[in-house]
Amino acid sequence: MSEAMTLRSAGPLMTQELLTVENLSLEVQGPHGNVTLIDDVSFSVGAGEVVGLVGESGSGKTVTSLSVMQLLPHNSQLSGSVRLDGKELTTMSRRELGKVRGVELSMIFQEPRRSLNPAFTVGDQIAESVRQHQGASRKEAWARAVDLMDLVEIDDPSQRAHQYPHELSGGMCQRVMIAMALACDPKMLIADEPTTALDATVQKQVLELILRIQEASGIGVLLITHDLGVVAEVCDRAIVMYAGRIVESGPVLDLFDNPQHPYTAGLIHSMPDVVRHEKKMGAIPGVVPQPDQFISACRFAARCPYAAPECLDGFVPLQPTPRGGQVRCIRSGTLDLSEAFYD
Amino acid sequence: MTESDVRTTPALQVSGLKKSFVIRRNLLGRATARHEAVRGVDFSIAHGETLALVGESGAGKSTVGRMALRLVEPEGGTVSLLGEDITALSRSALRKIRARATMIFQDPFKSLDPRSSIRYSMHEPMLAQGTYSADERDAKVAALIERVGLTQAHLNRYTYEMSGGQLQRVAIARALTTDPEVVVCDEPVAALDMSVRAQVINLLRELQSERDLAYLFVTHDLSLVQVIADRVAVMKAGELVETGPTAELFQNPEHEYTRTLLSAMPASHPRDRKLKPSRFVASL
Repeated sequence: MSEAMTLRSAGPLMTQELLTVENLSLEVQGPHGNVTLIDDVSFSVGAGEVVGLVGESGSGKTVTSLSVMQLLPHNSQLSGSVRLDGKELTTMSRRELGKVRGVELSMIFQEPRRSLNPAFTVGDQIAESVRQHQGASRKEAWARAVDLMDLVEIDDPSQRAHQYPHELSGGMCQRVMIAMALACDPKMLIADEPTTALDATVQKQVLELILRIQEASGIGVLLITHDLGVVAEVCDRAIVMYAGRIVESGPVLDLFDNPQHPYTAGLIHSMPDVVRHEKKMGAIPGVVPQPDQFISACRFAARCPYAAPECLDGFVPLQPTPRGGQVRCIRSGTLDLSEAFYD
Repeated sequence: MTESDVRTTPALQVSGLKKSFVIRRNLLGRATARHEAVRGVDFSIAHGETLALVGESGAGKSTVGRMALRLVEPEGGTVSLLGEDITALSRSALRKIRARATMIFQDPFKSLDPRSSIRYSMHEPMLAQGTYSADERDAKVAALIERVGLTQAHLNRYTYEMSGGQLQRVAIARALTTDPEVVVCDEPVAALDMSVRAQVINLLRELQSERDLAYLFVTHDLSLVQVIADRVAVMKAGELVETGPTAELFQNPEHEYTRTLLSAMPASHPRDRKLKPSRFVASL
């Protein structure tokens, strides 16, 4: 990501690049030969920044986050670089990774109850994380677990710590997950659809909590979501992925005010907004392609009303936009996307 | 009934709907604790109208949607469909009624049989009625599959060969094969991708105006409600706390709970964000 871009970030000035992902590609063995799930993904997240990674299912956003965490199946081939605070993760041994994952780099997932072990109390599970990474005694770890539960605003944490996941609501379970993720004071948190399974009122509380913690501790947050409403609420910058590639990135205000890629415009216009659209929702025709159909030229061209023959001529590189973002569209700058997909 | 009576009779009317579920039994199998899922719900929907039933998970909104078609038996209250009280109808009489009031579910991968071709799935509601000839059925299926934006070739496919958006179109087409007047839509786009969601919502709205359908639209997503519903009923813990025309309810929510729900809606533009305006002051 360019200098200009980091300076335009809407959040507090980035003091340092915390997570740097460069040219990340992941290939896996499919039934009909190898398929590339993500293709040349590069971005960075600074300390104190909330960056949204947006896309539909099949866009590669979750694969990107798992690649960053080095949580990959054996039959996959990762290339490119992932650096956390200057340390290269892709070449680390399992042992070295164990000192980074869950310590400096934590992750929370979509369905908190599925990520928790139903057979242990939540206090035990948080304490385990503390003991595993910090070598604390049982008693110290338990005390720390209760403190962490207090930090994530669970009422009456010393009682709640004795409860099992099934005794807690979905929102509470996600708070427990966040407490576990924070157990070792990470520098960076990856949140993969952290509020998708939650009710709107609970979603708001959990997002508020993530933001409060982020502001208090200055960690970097990579928030993976399909929901542009969540991006609009909490992110400083956003990266839009489509079919395994980044198609656009930039500061959120610019992205929403002036999307450069037709896909971004389509996503924004497909959000219900009665004030602007008079009850009309823009609909992108067609469906997201499967990984074995990924082409080298523009992958959105088949669904794009602005597609020209040259869009399919060959590889389309990411190019800087005048406002400090990046876009992967050869026609960008020549298109008026203000009415895109409202037919 | 005369023509004007048909227009003024609500397409669907429920009053005093009640339902509880047993949550604990004693050793003898007797219920010792019940969860009162729905505690007296009343509403009516006119022809061509959409009533959105909103609330959080566990509010009882899906149970109400199902009771409106008697897929779940109400414990109390009445359901009138097109002016006819169906609360006490026998199973065989209900079958006829089910041609006139159908349902679209959240996840088409679960609501459509993976072992049936799309063609058979679409024929099935008409076969169950037993009043359609083979030619009639073929003609209807052929017309509907194209109306929902798919092709004849899709009829030979199976569910696993199609995407969620395509399958939800099939589910919609299937729900319309018997020319219903009322369709209960239970979170019909919650399982779909963002870009596909709008396609399906626009399709539902077009079909409604073409066929004068009455929709009971069950959803947790208030942002969708603004674009699809004429009226909104807000449900909390088994009861309706507020009902009103959509625009009015969004502008002047009366009940505390409605206000809570509205304030939890994510902004559709970062400029309107509710969660941390402080971070944005500088850049605006």
